[in-house]
Amino acid sequence: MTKRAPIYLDGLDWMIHTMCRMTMRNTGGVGNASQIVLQLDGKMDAGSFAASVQAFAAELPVLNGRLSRDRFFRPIWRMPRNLSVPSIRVEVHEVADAAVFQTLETLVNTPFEPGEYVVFHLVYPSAGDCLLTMVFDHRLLDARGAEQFLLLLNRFIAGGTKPEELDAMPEPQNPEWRREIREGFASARCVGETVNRNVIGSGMIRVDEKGKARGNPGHFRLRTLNEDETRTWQKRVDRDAGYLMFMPYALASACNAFSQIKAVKGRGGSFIVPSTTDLRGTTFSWKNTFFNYCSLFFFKINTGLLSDRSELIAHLKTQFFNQTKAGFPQCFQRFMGLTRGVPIRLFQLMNRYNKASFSVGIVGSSLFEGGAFGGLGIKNLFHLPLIPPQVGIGFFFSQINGRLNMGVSWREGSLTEGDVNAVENALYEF
Amino acid sequence: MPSKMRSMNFSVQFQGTGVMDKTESELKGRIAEILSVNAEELKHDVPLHTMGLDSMRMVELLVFIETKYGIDLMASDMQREDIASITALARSVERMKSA
Repeated sequence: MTKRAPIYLDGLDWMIHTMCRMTMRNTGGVGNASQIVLQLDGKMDAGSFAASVQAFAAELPVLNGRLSRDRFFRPIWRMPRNLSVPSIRVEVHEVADAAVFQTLETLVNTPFEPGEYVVFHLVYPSAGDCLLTMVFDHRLLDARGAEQFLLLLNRFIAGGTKPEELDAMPEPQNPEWRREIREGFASARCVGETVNRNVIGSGMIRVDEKGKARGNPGHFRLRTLNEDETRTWQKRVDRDAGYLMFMPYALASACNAFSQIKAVKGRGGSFIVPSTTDLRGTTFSWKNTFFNYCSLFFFKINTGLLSDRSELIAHLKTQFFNQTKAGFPQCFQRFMGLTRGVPIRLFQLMNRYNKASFSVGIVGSSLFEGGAFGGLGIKNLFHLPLIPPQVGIGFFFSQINGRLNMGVSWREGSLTEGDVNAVENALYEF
Repeated sequence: MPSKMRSMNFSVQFQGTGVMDKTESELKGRIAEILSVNAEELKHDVPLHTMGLDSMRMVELLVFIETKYGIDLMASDMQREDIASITALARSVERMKSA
């Protein structure tokens, strides 16, 4: 194992760390976790898979790291001095067909063991085939990074990547702190203007007050569209929002779905919606596998716009355009860099006011498009992210092999069964 | 057709092609920057999404078009075929510039 020098965390990583701690305190142990599920067209052998995972993990000491501070109080990811091989659990679950989704929910709501950031589960439904799920901690991997991690593991299993060629460990950088601080302050104006315009005094509508209760687990509803349904949905995106305007259309669809919740109907005010965006370049790099590269857009939608579909989409496109023009996601990343010097307790206090109506996450086309895993075909791949209690409800979209997965994630107590059905139908039919 | 008229038409067409080439080249250069690839790798007539452009990067391109040419394509009624390739996009930009 090589490259054990500490890795400096950037502002986005620091934000995730503090949110994770707050979430763990709120839930009694489960932090900001997520899960990728690969629905395979055959049975993966648990023994050989577990052996491959252990050999793979041995090349990645970053999996053994923990949050620490350097002598100047800067947050770092410190890996142990003593040579130790990271261990990743691989657990097997044989379940009835009807209990598969409930099992997946349980897995992502189970706390990690200390020092653990990734766990694999092989779920064998009674009808045959297999689901391979990877539960991961957002402190170490974001959604796209988790797909890269799986892709790397797949190459390792296939023998296409030799251990010595495995070069996904992040480089220990030497940050230029003065420049970063200058850039952070320079970005404050852009961040302040957007937050002031879109969040403060907005009459924000929220429904998850009960869902904030300690220990409430997260739940999911997922809808996988077939190829024809996906084409129809995509045609509506092109027709109503424009070419390559999936993001504003999906946001509009989520706004419409959120407005179907009984507690929201008829209320005046605004929806405040953070939406994640990936700051990785299009050039693929294994070096971008670990830690967070997701920044945010902030959208504000007055409920008066909901009755006019084209006006709603146009409004979201305008905000998307203006924030991109102002470079808001990059400004937000640089600005968050300033918070690394803030003691974690104070930052948590600041984060207490970090609320939203709901969030939207769009992963885009999967890196496994047209591919296989461990020699088995992939029937579907979907993400099931736990939504932090501060947000309460989240909508997520991903695509693989010409099929769109759309889902909603919420904390127990924030939605009724009737709400979830209404939301799911509204998402699909928008 | 009189020879004078013929040469005038040729001149207009030649100028138009030159402007079109320049716009295509500028757009191609910007797309290459956005995608972090060599401009030579990009073809003029293939759909933008097959090059790797997504919503975020498309909007970055539209911001460039607004800043460079003063045209707000985001708010226009452009159809997919008007902006789906570098050539189509350049043609639309030229049309809107002269409108």
